[in-house]
Amino acid sequence: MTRPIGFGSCALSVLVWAPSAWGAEGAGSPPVAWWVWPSALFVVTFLLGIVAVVAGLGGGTVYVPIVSGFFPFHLDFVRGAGLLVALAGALAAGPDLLERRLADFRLALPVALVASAFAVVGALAGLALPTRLVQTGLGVIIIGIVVALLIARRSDFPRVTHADRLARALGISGAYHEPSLDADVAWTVHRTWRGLLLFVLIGLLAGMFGIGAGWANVAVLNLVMGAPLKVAVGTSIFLLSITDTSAAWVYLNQGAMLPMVAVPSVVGMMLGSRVGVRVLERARPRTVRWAIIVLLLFAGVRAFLKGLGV
Amino acid sequence: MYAVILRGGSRLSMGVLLLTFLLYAGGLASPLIPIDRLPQYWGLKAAEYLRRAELPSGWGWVRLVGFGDYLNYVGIVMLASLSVLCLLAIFPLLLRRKDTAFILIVLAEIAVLFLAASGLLVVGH
Repeated sequence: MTRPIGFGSCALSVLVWAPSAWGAEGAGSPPVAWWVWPSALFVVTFLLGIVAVVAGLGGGTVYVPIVSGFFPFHLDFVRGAGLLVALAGALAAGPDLLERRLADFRLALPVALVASAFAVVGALAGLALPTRLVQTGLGVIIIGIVVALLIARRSDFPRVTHADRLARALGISGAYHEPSLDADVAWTVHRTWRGLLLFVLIGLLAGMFGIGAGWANVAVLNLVMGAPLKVAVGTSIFLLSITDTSAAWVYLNQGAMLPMVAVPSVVGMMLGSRVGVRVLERARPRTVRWAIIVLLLFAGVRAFLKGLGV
Repeated sequence: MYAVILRGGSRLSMGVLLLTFLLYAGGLASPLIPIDRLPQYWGLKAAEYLRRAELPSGWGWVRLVGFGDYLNYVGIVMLASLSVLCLLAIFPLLLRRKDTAFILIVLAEIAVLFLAASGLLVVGH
């Protein structure tokens, strides 16, 4: 039962070691061998993969602040890799979610169009803006996510009395089998325009900071548009496969995708996620939730201070 | 159909990504930038990295794909191309159903992804 704390402690230990090693390198000590950082990156992303699954967070959300805060890679490469991490995870999960009707194509496509278009704008802006400004912004966003994790409430089956005009025109509705009720749950959405406007912001954030922004997708789909929680989570993961694709192309074309950073991260996260799914059965969600909150707060404050040059 | 292409494509892309990285990191495919020199570059802003190492942006990587580091781009590009492939694959189905609203949405999404992939969008300095 103490396993989640073990993983959290292990990840924190590696992160505590990381900046000291980096500092030693910067202070004129002999530079570490090239393979040390990619190897450490693989270990950390493996642990983050476990923690992210158990905490129900997307890989990119935990990856970017932690790796940019504690590794010597430039934020551009970390954001590029972060998008690839989120994309690989979403692509791997997408088919099952679609087949089980937990990701709804008609709900995902309109919001994905808005989010992906603005993710391109966000990516271009993020690469053009001064690094310190983006790093500070990243710190603020991550601290904001911590606050959201502390106060956010989710609704398993939000009450949608009737679909709005746009949802009806686009035919956004569906049904899925809910094992806990042993029944098919029919659903539709409302406040579609408001949701689409919020996806403008989500796209900008995803592109600018290289984070998957699944946490925000779920909140808007579930709390604003009224999709059942399971549909919101599944659709969020599926739409990340489109949103992150558009931003990832921008980073790739601008040279911000370094294979030595991106590939160990993707592989580490994918392997960690597989272990995380198994750990999930035995984990104590409350303990893991607090571990991830502490980890994110630590990373957010570090990103914020690093951006300010402290 | 979307799910089938996504499943097969993501497995194949991940396999290629892993294989090309092993060739690169294992020294079986010579990189353009020697691996032991990477620490000189990975702390730089992406634009500065391209400038100092005299590397191309956009699709310029294609002519360097024989080098180990750029060989990795094949798997990355495969991963990044999957969504647009899936959308193109379901497009005839939408046309047959005369689902006008979704035809327009899918067309717009394909346009966004093609534009992002084109390399025409450049960060100004």
